[in-house]
Amino acid sequence: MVVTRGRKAEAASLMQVLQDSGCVTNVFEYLELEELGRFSLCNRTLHELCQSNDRIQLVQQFCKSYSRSWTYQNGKNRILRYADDSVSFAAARRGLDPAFAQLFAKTEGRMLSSIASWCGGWEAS
Amino acid sequence: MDVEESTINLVSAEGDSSPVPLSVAKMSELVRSMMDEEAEDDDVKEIPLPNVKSQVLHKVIEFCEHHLKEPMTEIEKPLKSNSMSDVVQKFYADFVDIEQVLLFELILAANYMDIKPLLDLTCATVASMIKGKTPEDIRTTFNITNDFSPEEEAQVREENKWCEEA
Repeated sequence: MVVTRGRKAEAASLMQVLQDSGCVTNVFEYLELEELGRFSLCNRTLHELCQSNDRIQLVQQFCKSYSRSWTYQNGKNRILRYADDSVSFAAARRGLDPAFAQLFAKTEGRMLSSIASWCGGWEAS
Repeated sequence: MDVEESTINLVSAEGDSSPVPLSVAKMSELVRSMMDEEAEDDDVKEIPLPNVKSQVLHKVIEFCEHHLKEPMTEIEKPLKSNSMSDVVQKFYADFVDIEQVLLFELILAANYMDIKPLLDLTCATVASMIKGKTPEDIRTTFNITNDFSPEEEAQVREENKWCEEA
């Protein structure tokens, strides 16, 4: 389903109306977290609207709170794994909103590598 | 002998009047509340809907009439498929296989008339058109103008690497 040539301008203004009316936030609910993130990259208005979305705020909360430098070690001080190798565990341990851990429990496998790599350069909080 | 259900006229922005059974009209919370407010006035037979064009109102009525006969399956959040025929019955998938302009107008009408299942269906349809696409593809699909400056875009992309790499 694409916009036909003759109605492109009208469709563009209608998308603006959807944004202005707030109806676009109903669309957010049907998107996976990563899809919502990509949608937010389309323009300024969508970016601002998505920033107020609970799920996006939870991701940002995580990324501001965790670091590769927070490690789990065995008795011989050998690093077993990093905190952000297990997002939901780290979230629970750090006492973040339980909804965060629940959210990531569903998609953890897919999200781990990208989030861990993204957080790699962050300083310890 | 069956007693015929009474009707009410829904009046579109253009002034066109559509007679609708009460049970159908009351799927709209807006209409229901307007009728409740006017309950003491037995002569209330028309509900003006100045924000809804005739073409859109006909689609809304078609949806509500069918929904009473075959309620729509609740749509799972988030969507598991980008094909609406995978998530709702055939009637509803066909119902939203329409031009984008009409789809967006239906969203606004569903929001204004407060018809939750129609708002769910239309918003899920927009989501299905976003699903699995890159920001560039989404802009093309919806003719969205990229109003980020190059510096801003680089910054927001950096901040959102997690969603582009996932």
